[in-house]
Amino acid sequence: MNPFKVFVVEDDPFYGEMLKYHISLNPDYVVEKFETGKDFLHNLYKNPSVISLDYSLPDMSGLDVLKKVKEFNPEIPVIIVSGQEDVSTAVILLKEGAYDYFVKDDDTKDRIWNALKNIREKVKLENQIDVLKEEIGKKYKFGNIIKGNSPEIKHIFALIEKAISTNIIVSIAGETGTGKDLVAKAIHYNSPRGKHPYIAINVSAIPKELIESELFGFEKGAFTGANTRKLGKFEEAGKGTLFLDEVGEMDLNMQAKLLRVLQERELTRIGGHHLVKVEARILVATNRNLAEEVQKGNFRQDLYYRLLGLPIFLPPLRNRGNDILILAKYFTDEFCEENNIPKKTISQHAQEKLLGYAYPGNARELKAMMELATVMSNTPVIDDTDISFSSPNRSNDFLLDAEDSLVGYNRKIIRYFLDKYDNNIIKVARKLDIGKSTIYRMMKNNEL
Amino acid sequence: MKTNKLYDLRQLIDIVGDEDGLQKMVTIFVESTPRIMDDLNENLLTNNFEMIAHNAHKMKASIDMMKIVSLHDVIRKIDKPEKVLENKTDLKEIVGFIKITLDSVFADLKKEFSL
Repeated sequence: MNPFKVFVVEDDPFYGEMLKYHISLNPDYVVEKFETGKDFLHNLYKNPSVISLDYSLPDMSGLDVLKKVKEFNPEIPVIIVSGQEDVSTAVILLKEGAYDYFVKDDDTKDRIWNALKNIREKVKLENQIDVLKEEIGKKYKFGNIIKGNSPEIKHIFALIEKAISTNIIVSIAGETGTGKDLVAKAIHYNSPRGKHPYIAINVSAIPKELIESELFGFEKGAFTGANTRKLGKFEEAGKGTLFLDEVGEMDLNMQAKLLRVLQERELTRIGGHHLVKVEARILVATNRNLAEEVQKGNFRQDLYYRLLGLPIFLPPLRNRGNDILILAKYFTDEFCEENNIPKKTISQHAQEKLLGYAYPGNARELKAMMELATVMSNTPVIDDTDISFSSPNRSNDFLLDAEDSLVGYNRKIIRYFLDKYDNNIIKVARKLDIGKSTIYRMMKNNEL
Repeated sequence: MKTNKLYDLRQLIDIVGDEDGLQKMVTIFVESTPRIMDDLNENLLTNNFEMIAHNAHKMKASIDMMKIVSLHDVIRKIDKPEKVLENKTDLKEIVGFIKITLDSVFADLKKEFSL
């Protein structure tokens, strides 16, 4: 860890030395003393952790020195130590960004001691937060979280790059389990906003009566039970990112309010009168086809265009070819590592089985499947018998249903065979003597 | 013959902790304060009230730290320009009293610490 550097700026040699002595009692502090403002400013490049500054120096006022420090680095805490018992001076200095203002008296040394202790704690915590943020940033480097090298996924990487370099709204679409939330995190943590908060909210998980207060916050007394002011997610996100997951589930009334906030870039808390500036970047995701929802009248057209921004459509896993095997290996290795199990390989038969499945739950389903297969496998190799598909079974008695159209029966037959053969599209296509692209097309169009 | 000292080093000992530190602090006090005192006298001769206040202000913290209680209130009579003006007629006496007291302190400290 970097040493905690304390600069004492004090023209009274006696008092300066006294402070130096006292502060140096803590072996973790490295103290340097300066008797003039000029000398101190020449050494400011050393970036002290904290400065104890005498208000009246021979060559410049404490206020001027403070301003120079703040110009150099506004984050360095400056404690003013002065013989002046003048409240107005203290107020001016505190307004200019001084950390604290102490009058020289018998308690000064203790006050400085405590202030240094508090500042050090704060610096330590801030450093820890920076390290954690960096760790999270690394974790969400998109090469680390989105696995694969299929053309489809390379296209997604290119889009994420574009999203990172601008502030454009990004709308992420894709089936459940395709990793929409991971893409949102990757965009946030790799963008210049990465050091600011990342706030995610799942619109479908919040009752519609509460969504407004969750997003916009409320003032004390705004409604029964509002005992304190609460900031909404927009405000919590600050200069970071707000990710609105399942935005397609938002009701029309709330959509209008959201549209206004996105247009005006400001909001009013429930029960409040003051406008609050919105600085957060907005990312949205949905597994619905919003264009269709607009047609059906379930989603506002103006909000749709507002949110469209840079659309990123995450392809379903079944369309990503060999990425299935890359992900299967990744999930297996990850599971083995987490559970201290020796790493396992995946047999040729198992690979073929994996490639033939349709993955309605996408990567999430594959992950669960590989974890189970790793547990079930008794050898260092995962075989096809260790892999079981777990999509919810559909009714097999479809032929007993009420009368249906030929198209409807076709759909039911294909669905029945998919269930019977663990969604192995190749096998089903062979059994029914139809092209596998027919099955893929029907899946894509949500016909199955 | 035992004389009453005009200073009390207990607070300083408490801060610096060891003999070496105390010796160093006392040396700094004995070397640096007379220079400010000389400036104060010079500024008194030229009626530079602002600088008189500046000098007094500078000595105040050291005087407090050395617990020279007889100067505690006196130095505060001239530690701001407006106070210097208020006490304009007594300035000579005030500065004179500070000098006599400090000279006595310096002499005792030099003796006690073999400076």
